[in-house]
Amino acid sequence: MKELTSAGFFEGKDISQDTRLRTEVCVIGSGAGGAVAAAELAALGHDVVVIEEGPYFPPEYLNGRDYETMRDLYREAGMTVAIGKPGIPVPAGKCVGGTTVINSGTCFRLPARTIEKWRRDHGLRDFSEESLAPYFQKVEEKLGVSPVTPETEGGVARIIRRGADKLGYSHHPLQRNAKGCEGRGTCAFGCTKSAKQSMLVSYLPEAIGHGARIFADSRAERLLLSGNRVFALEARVKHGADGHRPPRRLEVRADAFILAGGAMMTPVFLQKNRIGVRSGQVGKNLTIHPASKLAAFFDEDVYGWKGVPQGYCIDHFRDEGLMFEGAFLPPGLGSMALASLGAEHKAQMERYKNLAVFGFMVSDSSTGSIRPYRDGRAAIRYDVNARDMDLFRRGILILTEVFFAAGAKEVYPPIHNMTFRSMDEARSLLNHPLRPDDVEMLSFHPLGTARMGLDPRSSVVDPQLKSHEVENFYVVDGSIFPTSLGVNPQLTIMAFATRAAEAVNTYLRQLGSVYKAGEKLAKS
Amino acid sequence: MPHPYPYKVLSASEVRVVHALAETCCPPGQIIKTTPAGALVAERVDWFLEAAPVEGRTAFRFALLALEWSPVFRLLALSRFSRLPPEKREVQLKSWSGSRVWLWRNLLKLLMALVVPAYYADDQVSGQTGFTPPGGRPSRFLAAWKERTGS
Ligand SMILES: Cc1cc2nc3c(=O)[nH]c(=O)nc-3n(C[C@H](O)[C@H](O)[C@H](O)COP(=O)(O)OP(=O)(O)OC[C@H]3O[C@@H](n4cnc5c(N)ncnc54)[C@H](O)[C@@H]3O)c2cc1C
Ligand code: SF4
Repeated sequence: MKELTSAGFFEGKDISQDTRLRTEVCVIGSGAGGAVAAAELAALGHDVVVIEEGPYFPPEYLNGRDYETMRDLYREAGMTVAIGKPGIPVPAGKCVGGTTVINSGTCFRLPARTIEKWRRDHGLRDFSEESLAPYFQKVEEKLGVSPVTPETEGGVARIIRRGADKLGYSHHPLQRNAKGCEGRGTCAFGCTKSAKQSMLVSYLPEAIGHGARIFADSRAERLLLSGNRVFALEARVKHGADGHRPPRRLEVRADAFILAGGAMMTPVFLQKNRIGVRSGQVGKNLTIHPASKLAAFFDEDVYGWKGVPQGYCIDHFRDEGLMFEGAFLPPGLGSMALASLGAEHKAQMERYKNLAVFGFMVSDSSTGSIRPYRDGRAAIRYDVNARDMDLFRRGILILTEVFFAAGAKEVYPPIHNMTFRSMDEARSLLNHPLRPDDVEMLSFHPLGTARMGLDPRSSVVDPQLKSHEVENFYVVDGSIFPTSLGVNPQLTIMAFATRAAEAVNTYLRQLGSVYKAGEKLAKS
Repeated sequence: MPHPYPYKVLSASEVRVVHALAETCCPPGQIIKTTPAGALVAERVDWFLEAAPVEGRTAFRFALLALEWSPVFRLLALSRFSRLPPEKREVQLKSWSGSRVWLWRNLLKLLMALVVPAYYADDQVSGQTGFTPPGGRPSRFLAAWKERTGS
């Protein structure tokens, strides 16, 4: 049996009985927000415990297989869907390292336009490109963020570059957090080379190096409060490999608590614990960057799976709210982009090497909400509004044009039973507004469900990400953003987590009674 | 001789519908010749469903039931889906995929989303598309399958 007082990863099977731990900082969730906050605070000398609901898959267990990884490392086996017009799958990770283990590794800084909007509409005047730059820089250096190389950008990038050049659209390789990437093409199903710097291979080992303890299979359930301070967290630990044995109770007593469950689960936890609810904003303001993809057949060999699946972008329309990025998938999930069946399907799949797939996402003005189901899952409600549907129509037309300009023979838009053989055909079929149910959408970026702001009546946390209501409680994940970002969010979440760790450190130092520089708490 | 796979979620009749659906969606082609049964599609789907949320499992099973009886209820045939000849099954599926009724389209989408990727999850099948299976790391499904069938 592993010693629970030593640093390291712990699984449910390591906790044989109900257990109580004492620490300085308890972090709930080990994804982009939680892992960074945990590592930063551990590096500052604090004793840190991380509670993670999902399983621990050591990097050498990641096998890059789409079907198996969805089952074992995605929340609800990848079957989470936002209910509304249309129904939109919202996959997310549930494992040590959170969604970063199964994401595509694309990195963007928070756009100046979005910061300006926050300053103007939300009074968040602390934020500017300059004030945030050191936090972004720190994360970028740690994760080796750099542009995709020509050797790994793959055949789809070649096609997109050719099409975009002909049309005069700006395009470039994406920045990613991958060191020594070989373009094995399975980022969203676990990088088998540990090139992608997910939290599992970067910040979490660093946190452990500074003494942190990370508990997998442990679902944070209840906060115990005394006045306006939290003094303990109760978690349920799935015990035994199959989880069929009765769960154990894990109680963590700490001086500060950081909630980083992601924008889907954070509001569920807050609502269940009645924290932040007075603002009326918990679970509201959900934005998701609804996204879609198009497939196209070419005469030339593309070999879309050889290379970084999301390694290239067209950013020409970013200010309009449209970002185009790579979206190639292995044949299993990739076949869904064609939506064909029978002999037609087989003939298409036998030409898989001639297929290019590219996607786009909409910087949404639509908003949705999240509330808890009784069993603790997130009930997500989201309808796409008319403005965003116009952007979908425009996005489909632009990408169709890029594909044809690059020499596509057939383009498959994300609209059931539709195939374009020419641009004229595309224009005539899309010369009317689209209804939400017409378009196949997906979403990878739920955000905003516990937004930050200055006023406790309209926001859940302050700009330091501290709860307006509870003194020693912080929210540090994708839920804190007041609007959709317009770009992939992981880097911004990590930069804000780095910044929030400073605030937590200041708080703990002021608390004084507990933390004395250089001296660790006796762990229990 | 391996033991039969001990299905944990799907009933025998549901397994039959999964097989029929997989054969219709992914019939043997010129290059991709492996059959869905050879790719252990029903076993993979069952293994996947073990880890799926109850609602997901229920929705999938409901979709199977609806598909199985739909030809009879919609008076397209006097036979259940799994007993129709392949051409008629394909007509049935196309009537769902092209339907104006949201429910039919989405039930089919749900079924295909679990069944078709299960087929390509087999290394031989994905290899026949030209795709190189990633990283050479072993399949967790195959390990479970071997353990459960004693192969
Ligand atoms: C397929 C896919 C591809 C993506 N690609 C990119 C990309 O290329 N670039 C990019 O910037 N973004 C990408 N994203 C999004 C990005 O990964 C997320 O926005 C980011 O990881 C969110 O960070 P987070 O800390 O908010 O939550 P997460 O990283 O999701 O971490 C939250 C963690 O908290 C755990 N948790 C939740 N509730 C509890 C509880 N009660 N108790 C204990 N643990 C709990 C969860 O299990 C999870 O592990 C992608 C997302 C997906 C799904
Ligand atoms: S493309 Fe690069 S980062 Fe992605 S899985 Fe492959 S080696 Fe890893």
